[in-house]
Amino acid sequence: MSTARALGPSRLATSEVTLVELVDRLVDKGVVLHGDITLAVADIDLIYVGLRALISSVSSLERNE
Amino acid sequence: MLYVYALVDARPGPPSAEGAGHHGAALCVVARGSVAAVCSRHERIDVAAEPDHLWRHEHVAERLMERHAVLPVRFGTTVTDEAALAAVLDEREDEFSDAFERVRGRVELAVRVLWTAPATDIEPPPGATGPGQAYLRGLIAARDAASAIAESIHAGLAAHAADARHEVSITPRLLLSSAYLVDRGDVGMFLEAVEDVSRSHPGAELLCTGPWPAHTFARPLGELR
Repeated sequence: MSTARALGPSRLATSEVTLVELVDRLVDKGVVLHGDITLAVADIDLIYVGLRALISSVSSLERNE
Repeated sequence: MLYVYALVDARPGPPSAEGAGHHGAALCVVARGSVAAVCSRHERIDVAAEPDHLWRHEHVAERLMERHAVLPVRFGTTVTDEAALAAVLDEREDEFSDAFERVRGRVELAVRVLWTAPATDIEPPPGATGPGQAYLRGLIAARDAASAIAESIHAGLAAHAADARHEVSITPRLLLSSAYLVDRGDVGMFLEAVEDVSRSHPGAELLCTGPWPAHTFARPLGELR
């Protein structure tokens, strides 16, 4: 299973970082077959909103420390 | 219908389909020539992009990666039946064979660099004519400096990789988002390089994850989504 390491001024929750990367890879990368995607577009948009929210909250968390 | 998790190089012999996929369904293999697709069969399937489902898909690919060259398939991909899947595999066999060669014996490592330098460091460069212009010029200079740092970090890491993709200055805070295709035997060296970068850039926070199956390198460079 994939593991995460965070290096630098602050240590983030590595499970969250790994989830962000997992979502990014599974819904945006990989082989695209000429098939159907069961996910509705709305779902994907929601994921990306979540992704951005996570990254920005991580940033603001650091700023407030 | 069939839910497809990954394509596997079938040349040494098709993979065995051990384990379970979504909703506990048994894994099955559809092999055509040098390409095998690992799937699960469902009357109907609806998988929301929730962590449990995402990890299920990922674990199938990671397990296959232990023994085979693997191309992960995008989450949520289904085909009507075996005939439809076989037709795609036949039509694109050359493309998939090339991709297997690219990823064989290699894993993907992901890096994100968060920039933690305070915004108050921005100083107006010489030649600014007013406070507004000075501020804007300062912002541009700071952005250029950050981009240069990101490119330098990326170049240092890419030196340890067989292939790499990167995006610089995505947001003011997210300086670099990149992926590296690394020989299995070089993962330790790559991680040491990540630590070296971290030590030499105290204002940067490096987030490194992996080893992943080669999600980012499964498709040819420049191919649209």
